[in-house]
Amino acid sequence: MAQIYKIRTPDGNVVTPGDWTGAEPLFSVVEVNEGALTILTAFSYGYGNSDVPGSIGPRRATEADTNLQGEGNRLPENEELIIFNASVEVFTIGGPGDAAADLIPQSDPPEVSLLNMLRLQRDMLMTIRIASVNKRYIEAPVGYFPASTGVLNTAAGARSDLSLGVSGYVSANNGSHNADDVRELSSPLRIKGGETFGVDFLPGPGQIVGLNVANATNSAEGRLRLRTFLDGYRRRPVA
Amino acid sequence: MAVERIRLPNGDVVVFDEWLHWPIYSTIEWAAAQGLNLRAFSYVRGSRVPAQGIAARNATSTDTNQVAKSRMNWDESYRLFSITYEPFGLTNATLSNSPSLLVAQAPQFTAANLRRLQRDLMVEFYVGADIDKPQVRAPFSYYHQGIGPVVYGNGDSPGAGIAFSHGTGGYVRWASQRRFNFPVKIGGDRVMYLKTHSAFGAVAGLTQSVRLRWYLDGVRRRPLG
Repeated sequence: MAQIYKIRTPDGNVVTPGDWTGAEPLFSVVEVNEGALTILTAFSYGYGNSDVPGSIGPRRATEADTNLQGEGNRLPENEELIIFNASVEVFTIGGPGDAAADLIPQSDPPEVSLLNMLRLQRDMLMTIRIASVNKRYIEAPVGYFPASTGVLNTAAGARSDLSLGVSGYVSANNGSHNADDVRELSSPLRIKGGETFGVDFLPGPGQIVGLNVANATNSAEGRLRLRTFLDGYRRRPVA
Repeated sequence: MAVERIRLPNGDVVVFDEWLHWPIYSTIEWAAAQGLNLRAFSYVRGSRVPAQGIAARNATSTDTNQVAKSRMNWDESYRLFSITYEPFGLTNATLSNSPSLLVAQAPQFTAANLRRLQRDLMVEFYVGADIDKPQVRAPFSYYHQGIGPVVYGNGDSPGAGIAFSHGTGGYVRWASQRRFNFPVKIGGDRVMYLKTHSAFGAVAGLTQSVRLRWYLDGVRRRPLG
């Protein structure tokens, strides 16, 4: 191992040199389909070595899906994370949904239609768990963790591509797009190096009732892509 | 089995616990034409969701995360700093005088209907058995919506036959939630519930049946497991 990651001083104390940053959130993607769902766990895979849970195909994780290194489900030994904020941003992938199922016209992907966003916020529960005992550290519907990312949208008579310019749309963000509006935890959560953790998504009714992202005519494999950010102080090894 | 306390040789008792940011949420439902007097936080998963005028159903994990009915669990305690909510429509809305025009498709909830709730509903939070004095009491409009979608349209009617409207209780952001100057303490095993009721009869003019998910936002003490 080429890194010095522990130094034992003559008096027996152990010093761990580290490089703390507040500018590199840990993030991970899961994808939500229509119909029955089992638990989708973000941070259950590492970059490049596994499939994205719930994805079409499924497909291999890219660097836009996660920046977690290693096999997933745990923080690498030489890192540490103190979580002050958790947030979830949402995109529509594939689709469009069945036009007949929604009376309010759909938005062009990757925007999310208001109806699909409300269905997701109503039914999807998010749980952060840390340590191998699977202790839950916070649990709430997904709307409790606003995206704090997104587009400030201004439109006047806009039309969707999906409708060939015939219809408008109503889109929605998972809460505010302002960085200031991220959900701040009043007591930070600490994940030590090597410790197991994960963020579970599971709908209370067993599915997102009425989710409309797949249309057999155009694409039977639409998804909502959920990218979860855990943000705070992150210790990385000194290389 | 968790180690909850240790008695030291000098007789002192050390109690282990941890405080966590932990929202507690609970759902109620009622039909548009019904008056209501419903208690949130009065049930657990698997038991019936409090409802008036609509079919009863069993609570799922997205309806509530209460672990004891109408009370804080005996080995837990809570400091309540804010109360907020999320509204969902259970039925579609059309214009009353032009029913062919769609205003909202469930789970959307129209701005006018939300304002009607703000006008007519009272919300009270109680702590303690047989205690008639609410710890928090205000009209529904006092509590802001910190959770939900931020919505943007195309700047025109989205389509033929649609007179679109969607409302949220203020700007949807946690900083918009009404925060109490003094937190409300809920001790272990204390009875607690949140009562939502209409001041008189049904909410006048309401055109959609409603699902309202209430959140107690604060920190929770729990034992170390």
